[in-house]
Amino acid sequence: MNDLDYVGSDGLGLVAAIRARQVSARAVTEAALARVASRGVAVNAFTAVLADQARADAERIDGALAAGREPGPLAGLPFAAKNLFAVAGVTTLAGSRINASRPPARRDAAAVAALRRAGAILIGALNMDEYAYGFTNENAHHGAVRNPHDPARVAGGSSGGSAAAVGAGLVPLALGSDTNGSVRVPAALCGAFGFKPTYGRVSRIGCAPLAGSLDHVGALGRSVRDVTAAFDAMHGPDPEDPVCARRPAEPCRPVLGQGIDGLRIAVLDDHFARGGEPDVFAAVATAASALGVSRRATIPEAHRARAAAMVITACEGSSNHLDDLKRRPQDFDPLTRHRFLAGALVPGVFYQQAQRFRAWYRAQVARLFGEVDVLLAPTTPCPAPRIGQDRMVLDGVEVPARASLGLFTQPLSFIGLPVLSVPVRTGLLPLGVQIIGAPFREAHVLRVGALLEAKGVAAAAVAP
Amino acid sequence: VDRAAKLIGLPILPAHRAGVIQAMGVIAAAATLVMDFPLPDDVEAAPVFEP
Repeated sequence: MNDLDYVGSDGLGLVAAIRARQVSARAVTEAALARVASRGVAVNAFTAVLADQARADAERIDGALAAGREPGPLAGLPFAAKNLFAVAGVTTLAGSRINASRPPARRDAAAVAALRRAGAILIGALNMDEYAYGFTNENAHHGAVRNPHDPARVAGGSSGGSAAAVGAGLVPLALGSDTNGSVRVPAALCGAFGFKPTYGRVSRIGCAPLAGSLDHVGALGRSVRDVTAAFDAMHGPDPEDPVCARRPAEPCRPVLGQGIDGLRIAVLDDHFARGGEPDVFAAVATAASALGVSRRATIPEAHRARAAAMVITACEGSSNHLDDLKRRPQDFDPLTRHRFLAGALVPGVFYQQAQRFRAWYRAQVARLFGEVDVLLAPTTPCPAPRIGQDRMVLDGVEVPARASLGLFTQPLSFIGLPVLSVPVRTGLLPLGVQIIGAPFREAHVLRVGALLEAKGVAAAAVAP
Repeated sequence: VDRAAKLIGLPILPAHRAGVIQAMGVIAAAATLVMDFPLPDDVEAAPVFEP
C-alpha cells in the first residue's frame, strides 16, 4: 500500500481493504509508522510510538483473517491516543513533566482497550496541553503541536496531538478527551471530525482527569463513520466508572444513513451568533443551507454557563494536583501553573453555586430539546491563532487568544450534550461547525453529520 | 490570594505571585457572573451522590 492510498482513505476504508485481503494489516501498520516517521516530527503530535506492539497486533489480525476468524469491526485500523489515556507499559504523561517519573501503566485505559478489542491497532501516544488545561497545545515540556495546515499556527487543544495526527494523515483515528472543548476545538482547527458523546457515555477508567464532573472521552477522525465506529466500540456501562451511564449501548453505525427526515434542526443565536469572525458564522450558514434549515433557537444564559464551567474546572483541576502544586509548582507548565494555583484558592460557595447553576441551565436546555432535536453553532470563534499569540480581536473587542477558543464549546460540554464538530472550509484554514443533540441522542447528531459529509459540505482536510 | 494560600498551606513563590493574582482575577470575574444570577431556592447542585 503506498502513502497516497493510506492518506486518501478513511479508517473504515482501510478496514474494508484489510478484511477483503487486498492489503494486510501489517502493511497498513507499516504505512502508518512510515507516515509518523516522515511527517510526524514536523507537527510534533506523538510523544511515544509503539512500533513493536503495533506490528505484533497487526500480525494477529492478519493471522485471524488467514484462519477465517472474525478479526473485529475495526480490524487493522491504526489509531493513537492522547497521552492522558493509560497504555500498558507506557507512563501516562498527561502532558506533564511531573508524571514522567511515574511507573508505566499496568493496563490500557478502558477506551483504548475497547478499540484494541475491536481490532484497531494502537500506533502511539499523543501530545496534549498539560493536564488537559488549555485550548492551544503549546506545551512547554513536550513542545507545541503545530497545525498541519500552517505550522506557524496552533493545532488547538487540549487534544492537539490527536487533531494534528489526523489532520496530517498520520493516523485516521485518534482518542481525545473533552472537558470544555478539548476534542472539538482542535478538531475544528485541524480540519478533522471531532465527536464528544454525552457525558458518561464512554468509560473514563484509565483516563487522567482534568475536572471529573465535566470530563468526556471522545474521538477524532477523517470521517463521520470512523468516529461513529469508534463510539460504537467504546460506549456502554462500566461499573468501575461512577459516572458512566447505565444505559445499554445504542450502536449508531446502523442508522448513519437515515438522513434527517423527522429531525427538527435549528441554528443557535444569541451567544452563539456573536463574538466570532464572519467566516465562522458563514460556515454555520453553509451547513444550515445544505440542510434546508432556517429556524433559530436560543439557549438562555450561555455566557454564564461558560463562566460556571470555568469555575468548576479551576476548582476540580486544582484539587487533583494540590500536592504537586504545594511541593513543586516550578515543574508545572507556565501556561497552566498560575491557573492551577489560583484554582486551589477559589471559595467553596463559588463552586457550589456553579454546580447549582448547572442544574438550572440543564433544565432550560432540556425544555428547548422538547421543541428541537438538533442545534447548530460554530465550534471556535476564529481559525487557528499563531503559536505564541496572547491576544486577538474578535468582533472589535480585544480578548485573550487562548481562553477565547472555548467561547462556543464550553456552554455545551457544561451540561454534557453530545456534539460532533464537522470540518467546513470557508477560507484558507479549517473551521468547525458543532452539531448538538439532546443527552444520549448521539444518533441524531451523527446522522446530521453524515448527511453534511455526503453532500460534500463537511470534509476532513488532510494535509499532503 | 496570600491569605487563602496560607489557609490551605499552599506556598506561592514570589515569581508566581503576580500570575496567580491575575488568574484569580479571571476566575473571580467568572464567579461574579455565576453568583449574580438569582437561582430559585429549590435548585440543587447537579451531582447526585448515590450511597
